[in-house]
Amino acid sequence: MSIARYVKFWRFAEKSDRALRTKRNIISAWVAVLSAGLFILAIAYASDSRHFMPGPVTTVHGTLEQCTDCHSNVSKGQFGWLHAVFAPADPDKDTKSCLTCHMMGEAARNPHGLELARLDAYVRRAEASPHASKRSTASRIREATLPVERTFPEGVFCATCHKEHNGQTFDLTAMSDAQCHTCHSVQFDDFHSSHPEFDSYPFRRRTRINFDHSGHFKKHFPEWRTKKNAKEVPPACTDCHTVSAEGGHMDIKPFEQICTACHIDQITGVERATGPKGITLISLPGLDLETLKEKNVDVGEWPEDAEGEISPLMRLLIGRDEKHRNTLKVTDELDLLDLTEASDAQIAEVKTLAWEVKRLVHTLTTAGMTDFFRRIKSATGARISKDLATQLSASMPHDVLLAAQREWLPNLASEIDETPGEENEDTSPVFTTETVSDESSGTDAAEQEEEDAEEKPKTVSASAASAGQSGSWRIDPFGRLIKGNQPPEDEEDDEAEEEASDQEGEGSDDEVDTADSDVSENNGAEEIEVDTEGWTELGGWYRKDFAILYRPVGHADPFLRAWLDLTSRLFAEDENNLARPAFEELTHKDAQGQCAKCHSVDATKNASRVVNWTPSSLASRESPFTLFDHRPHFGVAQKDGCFSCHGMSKAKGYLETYKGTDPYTYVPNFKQVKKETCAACHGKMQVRQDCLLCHKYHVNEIATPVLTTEVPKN
Amino acid sequence: MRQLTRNAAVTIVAIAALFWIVGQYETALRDPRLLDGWILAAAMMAQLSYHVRKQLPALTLGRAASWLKLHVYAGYFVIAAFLMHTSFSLPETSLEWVLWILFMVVAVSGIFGLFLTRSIPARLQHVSADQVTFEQIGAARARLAGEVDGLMLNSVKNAASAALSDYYADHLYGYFRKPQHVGAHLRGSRYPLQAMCDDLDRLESHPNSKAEELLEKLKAHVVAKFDLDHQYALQGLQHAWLFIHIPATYCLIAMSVLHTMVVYAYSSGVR
Repeated sequence: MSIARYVKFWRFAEKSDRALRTKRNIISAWVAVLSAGLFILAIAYASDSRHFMPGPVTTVHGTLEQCTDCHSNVSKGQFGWLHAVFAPADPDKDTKSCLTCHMMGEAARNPHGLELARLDAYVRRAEASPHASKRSTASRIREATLPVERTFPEGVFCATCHKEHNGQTFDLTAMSDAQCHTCHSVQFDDFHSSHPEFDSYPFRRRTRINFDHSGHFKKHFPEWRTKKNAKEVPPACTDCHTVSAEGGHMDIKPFEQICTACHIDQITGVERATGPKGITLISLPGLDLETLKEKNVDVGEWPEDAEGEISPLMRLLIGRDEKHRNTLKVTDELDLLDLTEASDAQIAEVKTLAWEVKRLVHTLTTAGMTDFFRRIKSATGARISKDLATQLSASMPHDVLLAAQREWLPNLASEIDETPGEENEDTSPVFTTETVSDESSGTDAAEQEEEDAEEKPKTVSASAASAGQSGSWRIDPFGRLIKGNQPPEDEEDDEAEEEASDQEGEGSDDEVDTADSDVSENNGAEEIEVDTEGWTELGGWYRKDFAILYRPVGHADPFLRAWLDLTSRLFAEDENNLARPAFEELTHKDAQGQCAKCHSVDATKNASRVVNWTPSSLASRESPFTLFDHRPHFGVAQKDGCFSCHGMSKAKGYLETYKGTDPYTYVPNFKQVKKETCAACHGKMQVRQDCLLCHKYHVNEIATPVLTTEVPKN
Repeated sequence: MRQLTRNAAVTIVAIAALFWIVGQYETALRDPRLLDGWILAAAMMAQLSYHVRKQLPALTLGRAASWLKLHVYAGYFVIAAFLMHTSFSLPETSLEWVLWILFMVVAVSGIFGLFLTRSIPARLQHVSADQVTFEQIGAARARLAGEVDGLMLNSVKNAASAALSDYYADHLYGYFRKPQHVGAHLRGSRYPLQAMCDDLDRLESHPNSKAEELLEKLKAHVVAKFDLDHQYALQGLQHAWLFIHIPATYCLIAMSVLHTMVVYAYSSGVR
């Protein structure tokens, strides 16, 4: 302002003080009104409303162009915001906007995104802590004036912690320790001075894989080193453990890399000196045929040499209804090879059992594997996926069944034809459409109908075949199943058929079947003695004596795993539970495959069982709040390495704890990590020690919606 | 001094309490900007009460000086609340800049006004023996001009000094009618006065008694006018800063109301 203008202004100011004040007020009022008016017009008509934000949003939200994208309370239109001034804001609406992209499930508004039951359990544990009463004065004042329950009457909203409009580079996830203390009754100033002692950290439960570090360090490794190949003994922890790329979790290397050298033969049965190397699926039990004959009990054809027992897996196939479950129960109490003492009623059940075994062999031979799983479904109520069924059957070849039937019960087809039908009446769908078996999971009704439509023809066919409604079934000389008393017309031209017919001539079914076995004999073919168990050293199906067995192919055998998964899920303490003996058979210490030797078995809340197939991982960790990244610590633990934190425990009984099914009753191989170990650096050496360094707020995964782009229709 | 210490201590305690309360509010997972925003708004309205008090001098609501003190110390508190509300950072959007600049204008002009209120009376007392109020300066200047006019008319009649008469007509006639040398007065410089006096002395190298008497009287009036201009400049400045401070305050309050409306319109609902 030039001096001349200044003087001019002063002349104006020369007037009386009152006049000056009046002039000032008039000018002030005009300035205020004009600026406010301009502002209102600007906000209403501005091309970019971001000019009126309290600050830029972070770069991750930079693509949100309209305020209304997040601020759901503001209606669209030039003066929509004016309406919102007086409309009560609903934080839940804005939170829903956030959850559109950051999906957190139903419990998103609960503290930590936890289900209320889990949250309640954590709160109770925290309140029971001896540190609960150690609270600062400020904390007490805060709680008295701004109680948590008044802050979050309807839950925790995203905007409670994540404050936007603080700049493009603002850290939305930043949270002070004091803010954590707002809700937590366990209060402490900092980690190194007043954080509670660790409670069984990091081992809250026994390890999922039963690996006795002490036993290996003290006994097995030295033995292997001296007796066998020293190179196979891992010299360092990192030979078995590796740090995961994400999260710095110490993972365990695959079995094939670290265990195979010593343990693969235990799985495949090579080291097994006695007993079968495979697990029995189907077997003909030995029967006291003499007594049965004396008592005029007709069990039809039955091999005299059979002396096996009903295997636990076979029980699942036989106990398809209450009647047969009762049969199993009654016959369990008998010595089937000595029925001299058995009552008539018990003998009747033995007869039922014998015919059910025959029917099982027949249906498996003729109706395929669908009936196999229908029986399991009838016995247990479990419906399984086709994927799982594939694993449960391990692609059993028809020839194995057929050959067994021809050798054990050569006239089975005609016998079944002459026996009154007693087939499984359950015609409901067998398989679920899920890829993973889960009896509790629902199936879409429409898909189920389709499934029904696909499965019914097979079922009817099988039933009809078994019931003999449209003629007899017989096995042709080449092991093929044919229907009717006469060979099918289309087979008349078959040279092989003709050759067989020429040799055997026309005859009854029995004669054909019996003659079939005679063909080779009559042909004078050399009978080769083969050790079928040895032949299947690489695993798979084989027949031995009066049993069909499966030998594990190696680690993670899909057949054993599938049966363990199925029976563990169906397991119940009930003595009539058919899955229980099967599961116990599969998890016995001498069980084929020896899965349960390393893979621990936990009892679930509903008393079923779960087999821990995988070791702990980031996903399976017990404490979702705690984070620990091993990687930054490698550099400061050079002297003692892993033992800097994980000292070996002298406590005995590690292996004993795996006999039980409670994973929380355990004796660890390693001492728990002490808080002092961490506090030596975190706090004392100016290393970060804030809450969020080791703990995270959102315990559940925050998912991002996947694009649902439709494929072009034209 | 004791009173100053007490007032400063109270202000510092109030500011510390503000920071603590807002900190606790934030720790309780509430929105701290909401709390310090309302505290800032309340303090600004309290500042406005001083203006209202000045508008209503008839009301006996305490001494004006006490109100001014309250206004000044509360002003420091408002500045602290503002800095907290803005998170001690510069704004990044247009509306924020408008509010920030307005607040800065009000705050800086207020502090400048306080400085003037403290420094100008001392400077006036130091330089001018005879003080007149700002409203009386015009009349005093006119009286001085009249006296000089009469003096110079008499000198012409008496032919005391043609040189002095010519110099007055050319250089001093306007000087006595308008405020002059404002910049020098604000700077506290007396160089223009010295220059005028030197010029007058050089006009009469051999003055007679009449001319010498006229010269002395004229110099006395020149000095009196210079002192009057000095008062005018300083008192004028004391009034002028309010023409920035008060309109900016009105504008800031209007914009703050709109800012509050926008905040509530776009509020997430988290308190």
